Amino acid sequence: MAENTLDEIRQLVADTFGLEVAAVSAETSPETVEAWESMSHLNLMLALESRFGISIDPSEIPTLVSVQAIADKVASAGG
Amino acid sequence: MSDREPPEKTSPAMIREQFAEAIEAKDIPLARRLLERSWRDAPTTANATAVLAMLGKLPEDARGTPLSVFFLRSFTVEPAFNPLKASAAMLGLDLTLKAGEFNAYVQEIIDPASALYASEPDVIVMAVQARDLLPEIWTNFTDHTPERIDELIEGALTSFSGWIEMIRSRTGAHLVIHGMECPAFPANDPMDGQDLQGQQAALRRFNRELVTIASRHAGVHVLDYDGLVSNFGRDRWHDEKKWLTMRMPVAADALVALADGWLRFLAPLAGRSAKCLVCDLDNTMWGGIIGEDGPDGIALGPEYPGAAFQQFQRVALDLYNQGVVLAICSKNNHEDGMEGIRNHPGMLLGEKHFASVRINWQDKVANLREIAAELNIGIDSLVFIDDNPVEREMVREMLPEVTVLDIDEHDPLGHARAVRECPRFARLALSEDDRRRGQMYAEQRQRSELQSAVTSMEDYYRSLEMVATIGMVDDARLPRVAQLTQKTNQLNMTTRRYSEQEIAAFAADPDARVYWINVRDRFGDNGVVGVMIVRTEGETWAFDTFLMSCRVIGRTVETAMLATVTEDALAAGATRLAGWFLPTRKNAPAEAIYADHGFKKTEESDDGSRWELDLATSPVDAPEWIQRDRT
Repeated sequence: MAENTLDEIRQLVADTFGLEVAAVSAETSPETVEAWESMSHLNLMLALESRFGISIDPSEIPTLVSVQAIADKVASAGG
Repeated sequence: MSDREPPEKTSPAMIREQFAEAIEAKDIPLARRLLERSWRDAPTTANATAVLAMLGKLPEDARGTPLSVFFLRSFTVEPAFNPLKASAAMLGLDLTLKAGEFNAYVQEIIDPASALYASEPDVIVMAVQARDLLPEIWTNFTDHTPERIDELIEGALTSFSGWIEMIRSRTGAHLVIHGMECPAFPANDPMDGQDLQGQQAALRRFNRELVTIASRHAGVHVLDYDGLVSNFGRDRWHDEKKWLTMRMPVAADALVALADGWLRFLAPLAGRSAKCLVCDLDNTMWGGIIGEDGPDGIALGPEYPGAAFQQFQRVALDLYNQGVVLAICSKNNHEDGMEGIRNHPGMLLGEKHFASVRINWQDKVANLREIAAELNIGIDSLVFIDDNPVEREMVREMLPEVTVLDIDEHDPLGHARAVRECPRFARLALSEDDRRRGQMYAEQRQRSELQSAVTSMEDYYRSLEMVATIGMVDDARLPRVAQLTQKTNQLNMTTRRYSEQEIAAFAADPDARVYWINVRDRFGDNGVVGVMIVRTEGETWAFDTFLMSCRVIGRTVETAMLATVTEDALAAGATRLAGWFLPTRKNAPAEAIYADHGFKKTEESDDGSRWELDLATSPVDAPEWIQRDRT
């Protein structure tokens, strides 16, 4: 995956949950971020779809709960 | 033309960096411009989160006018909140958004202690879908007889009617109800399209009746949801999988369109309607540069690209017919520009449509200031359209209150669209005054010419042959009276903004009177130009509101208004008139009205000053040159 795609995902995660981008790593997940709850997770999923032009199947949504998992999904979806 | 270079296209990361620097340097206007540019460059669901993150870093007083909205809903609306907040921020609105419980809107409407009423919203949006509200029509249509379908529609309309009345009785908030969508594939397609008792016809009948019910209530509006969906593209709008799993029927890419659909209601409800469209000429009003190409060389006519500019002019003409004032601001030789406006056969607009014309070589910022001053409207009432990015950027920098529309000189078909889509021109109602406003400005020019021809002010007043009609507010005048309280900034003693519902409450109060005044003169009818709301308890009649449109400034209409209240107060046995003057950034022209009419200052506070008039010793006499008719 291109370096800047990962950076963009980190930025999107930071914006969605009100974090500094420097505080977002591949391991960032709902465990480490209090604001990462179901509605903001849905917002993040829609933002990813809109940004990378990908379609995330609803069954996958509950599994995309870390920056690494999201990056893998974007890479495999060709975003 | 300008020798400055247009701003470079900046990447999102660079905008973000510059934004952080601007915040660091406490340059809030620059920070605002950067976040606005970010949203203009990429108005997408993904970028909305970034724009909101930036908005959150602005100091609270730089975020705009607060407006709270509560969503009653039968589906997941929250993902559209970020785009909605971002779009609203561009208009200077700071939204607080709340959503009711999923599909619990009936309970929330009925329960007086529900979150709906407790949150005291300014606007309530009822986001319901045909598939939830009318499942027997949306899903199971073919199971039912036409008679049964009619019963179902009647039943749903009766429910809506009851809900609206309950909401109306409990809150003065504006209500925006989603109309019903028609299905992409009606059950009996293509027969359904020809069947007056078909599925689509049934849903359209429901929508029509819903509009009828809404029109019986003040402050109740219907959003044409089906139109919104079809403009965007029905296939792309829906995400059936997310609907079935998360009750989220709208696809990620359509969320911005849904947000903009809401904003077209919220902007006018929040008083963010613009009063004037200021147009550039070359490559905006017509194609080409008239000073170089000559009147025969510009593109304006029925063929492309001239047709694109005629489309733009048609939209401007539509606005003119709705009461939006038109003006010109162009860098050209005055004669060249006027030659095009007056004599080009392709012009749909003419000289008479423009209330103010600035065709010169001054910078546009100075011209825009002059246009606002000449028309007696605030600079924040202007929308500016210009194909030149350098001019646009300069106006954004120097006059951040002005709404600037982005258009591309290479894509003139976008001009009309840019104006049509601007939420600052969204109208929810059209008053008789709106329809006649353009003509009234033309009459005003004639009055100014007369004024310079007569010698004394009294002669001038007499020569106007003014007739004032004064009455108490009724249903017909409710919209205009409320509109005046919302829009009048300068000759307004207290600047209290009231909705139609609030005006109706005053009218129903036995201890209050709501006066309107209509002024007509030899040049035409100015319409309803003044409002007074007076509390009439006891010996002192106190003005809650005293305001007058700038249209009749300097013609002693305010004296006629005060004289009328003087007469009524004396007849009712009152001995004093009283009122507050609450200064704002804009109402200095009203400051002297009480003192000029013999009121004495009785109190001063941080908010303003209170004035009183002793009716026994110094009643206000009516000016003899205004004939007053009471209705």
